[in-house]
Amino acid sequence: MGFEFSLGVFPVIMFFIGYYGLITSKKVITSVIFISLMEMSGIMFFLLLGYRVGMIPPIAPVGDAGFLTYNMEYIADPFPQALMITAIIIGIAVTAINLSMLITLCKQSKTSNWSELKKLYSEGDF
Amino acid sequence: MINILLIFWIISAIFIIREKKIYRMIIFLGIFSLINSAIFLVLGAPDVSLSEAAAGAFTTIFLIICLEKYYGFDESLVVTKKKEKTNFIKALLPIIFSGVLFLLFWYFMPPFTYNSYMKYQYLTYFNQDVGSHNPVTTVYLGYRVYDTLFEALILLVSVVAVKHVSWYSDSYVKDGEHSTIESNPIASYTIRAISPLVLLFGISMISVGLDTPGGGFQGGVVIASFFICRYMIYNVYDIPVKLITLIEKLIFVSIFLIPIFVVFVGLRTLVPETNLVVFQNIYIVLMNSLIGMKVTCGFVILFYRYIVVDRRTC
Amino acid sequence: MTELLVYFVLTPILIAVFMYLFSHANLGRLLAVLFQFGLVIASFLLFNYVNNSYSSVILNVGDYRGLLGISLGVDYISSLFVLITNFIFLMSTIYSYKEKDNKLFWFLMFVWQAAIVGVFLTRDLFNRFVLMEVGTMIITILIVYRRDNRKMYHSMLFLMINIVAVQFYMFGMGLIYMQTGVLDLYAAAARLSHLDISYLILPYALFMTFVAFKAALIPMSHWMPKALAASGAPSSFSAILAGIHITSGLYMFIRFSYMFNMINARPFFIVVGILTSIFSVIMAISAKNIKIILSYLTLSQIGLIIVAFNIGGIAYTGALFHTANQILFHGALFFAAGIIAHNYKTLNIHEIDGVWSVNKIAAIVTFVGLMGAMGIPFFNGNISMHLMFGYEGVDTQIIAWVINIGIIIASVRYGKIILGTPKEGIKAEKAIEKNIASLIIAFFCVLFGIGGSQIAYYVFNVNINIFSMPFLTNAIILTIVLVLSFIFTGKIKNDKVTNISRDLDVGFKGMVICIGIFFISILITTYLLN
Repeated sequence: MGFEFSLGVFPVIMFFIGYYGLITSKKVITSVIFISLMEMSGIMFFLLLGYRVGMIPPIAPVGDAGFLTYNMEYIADPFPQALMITAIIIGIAVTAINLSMLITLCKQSKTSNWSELKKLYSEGDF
Repeated sequence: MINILLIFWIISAIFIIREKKIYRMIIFLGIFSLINSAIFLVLGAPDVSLSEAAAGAFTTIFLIICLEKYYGFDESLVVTKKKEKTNFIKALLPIIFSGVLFLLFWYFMPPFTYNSYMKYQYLTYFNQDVGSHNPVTTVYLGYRVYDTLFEALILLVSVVAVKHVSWYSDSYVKDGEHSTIESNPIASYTIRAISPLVLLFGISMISVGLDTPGGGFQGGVVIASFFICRYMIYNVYDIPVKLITLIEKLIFVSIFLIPIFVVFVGLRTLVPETNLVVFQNIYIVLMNSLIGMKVTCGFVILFYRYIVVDRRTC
Repeated sequence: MTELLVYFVLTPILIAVFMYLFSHANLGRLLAVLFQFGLVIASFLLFNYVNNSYSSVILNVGDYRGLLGISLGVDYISSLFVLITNFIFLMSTIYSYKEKDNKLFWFLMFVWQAAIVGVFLTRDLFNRFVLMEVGTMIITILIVYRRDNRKMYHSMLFLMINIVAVQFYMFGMGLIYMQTGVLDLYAAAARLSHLDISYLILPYALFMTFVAFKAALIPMSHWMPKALAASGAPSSFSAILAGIHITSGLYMFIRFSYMFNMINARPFFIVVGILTSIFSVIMAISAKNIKIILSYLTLSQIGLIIVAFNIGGIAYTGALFHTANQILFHGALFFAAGIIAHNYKTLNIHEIDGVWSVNKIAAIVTFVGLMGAMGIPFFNGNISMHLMFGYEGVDTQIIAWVINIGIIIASVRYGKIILGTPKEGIKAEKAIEKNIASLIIAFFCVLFGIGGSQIAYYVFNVNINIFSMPFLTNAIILTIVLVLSFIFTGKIKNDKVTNISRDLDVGFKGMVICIGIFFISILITTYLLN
């Protein structure tokens, strides 16, 4: 605890930049952009773990037995990389659905402000 | 070095916030995605860097298409209209709220030391258990193939969702007018020359996913961009969408069945020792190609629903 | 036998794709019902096995060494939830048997079933994340199943706010991986107990923010009535969303409380649960749409369950039993509401009267469900309510009574639609499959009520003496309150009351701010309590 500065602070800054953008965005399409920022901050956090200067990617050269004798602290971690590929794919899929819903909705209602959409569609339910 | 890159990363995000025109925001998002890709490479993650480059390109394309579909007929809508006098307190409150959240988060954050138990496990055993030279591929196709099945499911569901949510039926298809790219000779000839190379690059990325950075997803996205290039050159959209949807579902079924038989039921334990390496290599290359084909079909259908179907109402 | 655990999740997906490609004739639907029936039998066998052998079943998918693969695990809690989930999905399949244009609907239902059962079975944190994303996307499509602008707005709101909430979960996962080096829940729990407790406050706050969002606790309970107000998709979708989707949030609450069992944040959650119940009871009294009233009734039950989880001891067991019960009686209520909406063609409570003379089966099922929600003896809410609050101190009992009286008033208000005379021109449309499905669920509600003590003994090893003094006193007081509120409560048409719910609408920005407020409060409270 306490305010020490490490590499992990940068994804947190990005997370809250995205959060601030979500609170203050007036149009729907800017919210989608800031959600992308928040996703990228989470992914970057996973990949920054265990960083040392001079890291090599975890690819073993074909026919080389010397890979495993390399100092394991300087080989990047393959586990978060595989998970983050999945997370990036999920991010694209969700953005695609979001944008197609946005196109249909905003074309039908001719506006794309959050406050105007709220006035149009939030009454009469209760 | 990494600190400087991360500071550039934050600065590009601040540019996105301070920008008022939406076109410029999307371009800055593309730059943000490029910086992401570069940072992932410096951190020693070439697979993630390739995926992020492909994903960032597609997100930027989708955003620009969305912007043009909705705003394209009215330029003034992309600029903030009235210069209303914003209340100073009202503008300050979100900054204070986010700032308080950020400071609390930073205060409680544990020290950034790293417990690398799983890393040593994966790096020690990956060659014996799955038999490739790229540990990332062994993780998502060998050890955690259960997750990859759901990732393929997510792509399928998102294609179904986009088809259901955009309210135009397939009968609205017709070929568009001549696009501006086709009339511009330099762009048109350049794309014509490059697109076979793009296809070749995509196929090679899928097939070398066994031993070097690459893999099914990245190659699939690149091949999908080949089809988009073809649309931009000829502006004729004769792709049979119903056939591609059917093919996508069949590929999805085979993506499910092959790991069930090989990994879960345990066919791989029945293979004799001498053939084991060949069997594992065939399994990985087959799964990578299937995933690549599925991603291609999915993205081509998405692009189709975004671009072509709306032509009549533009 | 253990290897078959993974097929609970994989076979629904394969059947879903098969039905999407080949579901033209009635044969496909019949096969789907048979397949669901087979799944229910398989989960019942699993449930019996786990309860008889008092052990958990763990499967390492693919049989890889150590923690390198993903593991699936079942214990008595997850097997109960898996059984009830498969049962409700079987009932929904029967309920929507005659849906027209149903190729997409059945595909989505089966994939949703696989995702929810996957969340109950998995022991890995990242796998849970992927499965929850699948569930979110499917709910998004099901909200806009019929084309309507208003539902498109609500669906977009639902998707975006869920993505924002899941980023908190992702950050929490990153912090856990940083400190323990594994992502398996039980292995991480074992390693976390050796760490300094001040390092665990932030991951705990992040995870609990996400779990509270999923379970719709107080600042963030706004997405649930909006998602349920959609009358486009068949009513079985509302039953599953209100019953099982929220239960997956409660299930994650149980697992994460186990993972962080060295952190004590019980007073915070007790307060949050009480506030949720009070808030939802007030909104249930003032809402006009019958599905929204039912969703607020669900939320009040969820608030009580969260309070009971955090009291501990016997109340914990009662809360588990009550979760299972509330899936059943809310399923019954929503199915009956679907039949009523189908007959009356409106969802406004002021226009619905006299259900007993229009459709007797819907009236019976509604009656059974409401009795279960109120906790009347011989119906299923009773034993679990008694377990939750009957053994505790006086102050807890007073709070529980206050909330229970509110629930009774709201339920009686809803129940008045059974009486009265209907408007002209309302005729009952015969829908045999819906009647059968609703009656079966109501039958199981009564069964759980009458045989409640035997079930509590068999599953949870708790002995209840139904002839003991506190139990009988509670039963008598409940009946008296019920009769009084029946006489004195009308349908509450006062406009000042019904406008409360209209003015409380926050938009997307408001919901994001509410998540932030909850995060700050849980962070500071956990720090102060530890």
